Amino acid sequence: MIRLALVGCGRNAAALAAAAAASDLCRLEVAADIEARAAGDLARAAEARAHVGDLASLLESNAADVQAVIVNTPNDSHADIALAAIAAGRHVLVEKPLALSADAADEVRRRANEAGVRLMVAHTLRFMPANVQVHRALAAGELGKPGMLRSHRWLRRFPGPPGGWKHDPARSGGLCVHEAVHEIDQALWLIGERPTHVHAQAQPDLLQIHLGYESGAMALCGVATGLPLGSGYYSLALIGSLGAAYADDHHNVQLIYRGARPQAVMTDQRASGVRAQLDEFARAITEGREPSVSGADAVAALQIAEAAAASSASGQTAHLTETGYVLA
Amino acid sequence: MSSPERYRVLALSAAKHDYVPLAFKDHPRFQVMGVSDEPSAAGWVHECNEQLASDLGVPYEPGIDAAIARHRPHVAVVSSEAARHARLSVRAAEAGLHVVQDKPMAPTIADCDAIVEAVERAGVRFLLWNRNTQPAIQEAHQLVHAGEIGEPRAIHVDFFFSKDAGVLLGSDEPEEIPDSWLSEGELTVEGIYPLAYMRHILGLDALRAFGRTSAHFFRRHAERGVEDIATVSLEMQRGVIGSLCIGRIGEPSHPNIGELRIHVIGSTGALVIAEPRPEVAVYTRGLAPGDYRNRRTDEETDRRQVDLLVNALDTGGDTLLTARQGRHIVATVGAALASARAGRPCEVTRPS
Repeated sequence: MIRLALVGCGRNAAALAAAAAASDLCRLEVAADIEARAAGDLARAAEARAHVGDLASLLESNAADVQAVIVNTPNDSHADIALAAIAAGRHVLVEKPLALSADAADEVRRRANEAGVRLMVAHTLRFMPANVQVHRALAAGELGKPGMLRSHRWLRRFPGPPGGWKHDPARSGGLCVHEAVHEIDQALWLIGERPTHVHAQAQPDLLQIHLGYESGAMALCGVATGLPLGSGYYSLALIGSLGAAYADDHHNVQLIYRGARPQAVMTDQRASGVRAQLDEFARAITEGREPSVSGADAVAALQIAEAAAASSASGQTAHLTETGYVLA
Repeated sequence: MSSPERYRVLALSAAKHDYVPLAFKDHPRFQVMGVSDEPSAAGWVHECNEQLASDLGVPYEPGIDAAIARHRPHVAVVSSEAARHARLSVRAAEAGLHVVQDKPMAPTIADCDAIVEAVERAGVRFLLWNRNTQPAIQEAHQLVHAGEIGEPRAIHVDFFFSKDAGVLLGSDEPEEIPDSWLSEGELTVEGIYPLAYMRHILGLDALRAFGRTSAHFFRRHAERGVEDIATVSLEMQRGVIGSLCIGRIGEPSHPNIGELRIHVIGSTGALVIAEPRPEVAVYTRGLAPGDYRNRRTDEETDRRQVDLLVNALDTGGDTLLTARQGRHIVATVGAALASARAGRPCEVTRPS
């Protein structure tokens, strides 16, 4: 069993703790947060020890009990906490984005390699059960050569008061870095090549990223974070030369009749996705291999996210180069 | 001037889609008088025209001027090859006939401009045939215009036809599709439908387009350099973000006609609309792979379009898709295709 410390007991922490509790491969030992209440609440729910303070103090007082650290803090602290954990010889699972810039992410990747610890980044879409089936069909050759990836992901409005870190692009990285790295990583994973063109359009809570590839493939991904009600919406279509795969809520809505009218209910795949992700992290540690979502994957996604942000800000198209992008 | 009890209709060519003229058959406010075409039309076109005339129970009379003189039609229905659309529609408008025309509007912007000019100079109505009368599209239109999702902010249309178009790319099997069936490109020809949805549901036009295209599936498309899939990002009026995915994506890609879906995001809500729904699934033994399992419950889509045309003709109001709107759709497609070639966004040209 891999012994884990969870740093950051805010949003997502409960899902991560539940995944650890359900796993046969890892166990949550410590729930840490700089706020005592957050650490205490999660520790009680997860039957773990609470720690109030930063990573250094956590490792000082719980050194023997922590083999790996999950970084679940605000985005602008991911890289520093990951670097500290790596420096202390701990394996690290970092919430996306790995860092606020591709360069900073690459530094984390490099340090993890040097230290010989496993670094994994939580690009969770790869672990969502529906997407796993799509990827499996693609890998088995059932769909032929990927031609078009279309996705929509709608989220409820960012929680928290105005002024919270998610509302501050300087701390979150903005929509491209904070949210669209999911879509970009998914496109890299499913299309299987790096795009040559990135064209993006953005509003404060809307983003559209359009990727073009040397092979002729294309991807069009939409993210909306301002949905006023509901629990979100997800849709993916992957069109290949021999077939197509569709994974979406629109086909999979259940109905509940409550009161006078039917209501849609979506079966949430997120819990099993988070658990599969955590199990992959634990297996990579146990087997001494690179996780399926590596630091290099996270760096690649962030490079494209930066190009997308530049495209949406300029109204131009970003043409990717080996080291960056050119706007035209 | 009062409206006639029945508008007389002359079908001008049925080379492509007979469902356009057939939608007028037995309509209480229309009377199809005959089918005509240019005598110089290809032999297979004359055969199509004769078949349509037989289906309608009217004569086929090559020679358009003579047919117009004989039947004194109010409306011309043009469903020729796309290359002849502008010539036939302009000719009909100049003869004082209202025009109902199949898609695409015309191969070039110049042709579209000629249609717009002829129609407006003659003061006749023009309807570009579309799918906006599908029940789900009508419902989306009503919900958006009733303010159910607040101010529209984004619209995304997926328009995939799970149909084949000959031999797959990379195959050395012999080609069996006749030249007359070959598409000029999926975005080029079918792009009107999803773009017309956007126009109808939001009432907004595209200003700038970024497109990607590829001949991904079929050998003849690759050989001829036309697209069978395309993705388009659109900057629309009022800052609305638009996008479109379109493709002729092969028979095995969907059990039915394909995904035809619209996502609309508003300031206070959102819509996900599947154009074919509601539908009924029918499963039987011996169903061929290309036969659709699902059947649409609505059979009045084309007739509804004709009903709306009646209103436009009676009142002199706009049709569901006017010549100017059709012209803008062709310009949007043109901007997306130009963008795909250039690798950068292109402006949608406005009439001079």
